[in-house]
Amino acid sequence: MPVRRLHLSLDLDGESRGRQVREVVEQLVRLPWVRGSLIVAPDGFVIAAHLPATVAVDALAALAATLGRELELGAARLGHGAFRTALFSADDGALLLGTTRVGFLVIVADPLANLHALRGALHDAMRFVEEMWAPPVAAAGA
Amino acid sequence: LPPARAEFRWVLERDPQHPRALLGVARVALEEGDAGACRESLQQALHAWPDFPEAQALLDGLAARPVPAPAPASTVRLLLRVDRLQPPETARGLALARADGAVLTTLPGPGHAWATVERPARVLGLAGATLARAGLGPLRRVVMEDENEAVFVRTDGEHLLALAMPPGTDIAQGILQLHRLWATAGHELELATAAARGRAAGRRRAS
Repeated sequence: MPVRRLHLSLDLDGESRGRQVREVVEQLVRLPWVRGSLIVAPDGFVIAAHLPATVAVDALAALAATLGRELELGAARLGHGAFRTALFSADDGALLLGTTRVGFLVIVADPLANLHALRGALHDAMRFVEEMWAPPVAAAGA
Repeated sequence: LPPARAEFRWVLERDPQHPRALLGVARVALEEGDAGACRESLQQALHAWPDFPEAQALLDGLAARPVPAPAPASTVRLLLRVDRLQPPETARGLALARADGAVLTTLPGPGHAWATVERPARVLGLAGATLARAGLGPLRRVVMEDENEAVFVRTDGEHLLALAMPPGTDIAQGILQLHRLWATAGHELELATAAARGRAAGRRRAS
């Protein structure tokens, strides 16, 4: 009996905010030192991803979402306000994670990456997603 | 979390093998600190859907070497004097702990050790599993930023050093301080261990 394969990621087309979110990911992977990037909803649902073929997207997204939630809950538990970003550095590279209105933005980078520059890029991308997905301001007098 | 769990349960009553509902129940259990219920739900999902990478990854994450919660302040046994490490003046907190949760030194005092070490200790196992999935190797450093502070963490799997700084601390400066503190702590630990061995040998000779 063939094994049932799950495909749970979002696939949006057209001039939508989903497309713009995918564009954020594409912009990030064009930066030097960046191997890949993804945006994952807090429940692990992959919104957009561009990762090397050697990385299993769904598995990484599931763990990144769980890690992001743990960081959010940890900040809340200590009364530290909102969690913003985290940087995890390893022997063979680094992983940056930031929180946005739609989910967690992740960057996978080379070991010798300029982390200061990448952190700035992550903040810019987070701000862009925030602006895109912020609720519309009510019209004056409405 | 309870409303989310109720929603997932509602789905599972109608479709007991619904993958996202099973995964959702597992996530809720994990956020509530119930690793057993989380594992059970993931195993149920993998039984129905053997090729379910998200469930498998979370199960692997659970199996990653858990870092126990640091000891309560009352059982903290300070091995090093924190002033020997010369923490930066702007440091809000500093703690060195072993992987088993024993706190070896802390700033400002034992009562704060738990708060400084707890959060990094909780995420280390999960972060290590995430890095492994991304093909990045063993975790070495963590920088966590929230509205109130930036926490710089260094680990080698046996020890964990956490340095809490004000928000907006320059990341390069924070990492430099972390490296300096890590090297000093390693040196001081060697001295403390050698001194303890010397005392033990003296007691044996005396007896």
